[in-house]
Amino acid sequence: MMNHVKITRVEAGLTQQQLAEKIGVTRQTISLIEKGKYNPTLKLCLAICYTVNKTLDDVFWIEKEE
Amino acid sequence: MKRVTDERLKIDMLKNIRIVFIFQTLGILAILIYTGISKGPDAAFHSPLSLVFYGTGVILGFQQLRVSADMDEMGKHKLKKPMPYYGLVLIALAVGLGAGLLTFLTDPLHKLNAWIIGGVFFICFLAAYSVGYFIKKKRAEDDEDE
Repeated sequence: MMNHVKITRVEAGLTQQQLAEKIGVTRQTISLIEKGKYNPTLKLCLAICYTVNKTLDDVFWIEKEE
Repeated sequence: MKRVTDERLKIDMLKNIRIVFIFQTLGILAILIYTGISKGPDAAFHSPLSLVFYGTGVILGFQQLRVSADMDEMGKHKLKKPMPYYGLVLIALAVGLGAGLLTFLTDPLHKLNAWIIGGVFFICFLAAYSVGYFIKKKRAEDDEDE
C-alpha cells in the first residue's frame, strides 16, 4: 500500500536506519513500507508517526481510488 | 541470539514455524504408519510418538476455540440464553448414570466397573460442558460491556 513515509522521513532529516532504530524494527522493514510492499500494523504506523512528528493522516492517508 | 522485535520478522518467523510444524507432523505420521505396518497397529498405538501426536491435536483444538467461527450469533446480535449450570450438571449426571447402568446390566458381577465407567463418563461430559459454559458466559459478559 502506498504512503508518504519516505517524504516525511526525509523531511524529519532521518535515514532509514535511524528511523528503524528509533522504533525498534529493521531497516529492511522501513524500506519495504516505503515501497508499499509491507503492510505495517497500526501500532507500527503510530510509532512512525510519533517519531517523525506527523499525524496518521499526514503519513498514511491516501485518497480512495475510484 | 538477539531478540526479534520487528513485527514483519515475527510474522515471517511464525510462517516458518508453520512449515516446520507441517514437516514434523508428516514425519510423525510417516513413522507411526511405518511402525503400524512393520510391527502391527498395537505397537503404533503404544508408541510415545502417538501420544505426542494426540497431545498436539488436543492443544491445537483447545487453542482454536477462540479462532473458530461464531455459532451462537442468532439474527441481529441476539444471543441464545445459555442453559443454567445445574442443567449441564444434570445432563452429565444422566449420561454417567446411563453408562454405569449399561455396564452393570452387561456385567452385573463387577459392580466397581459400573461405578468407575459411570464416574468417568460423568466427569468427561461435565468437563466438556463446563468449558463451553464458561466460554459462553464470558462472551455474554463481553457483549454486555459493548
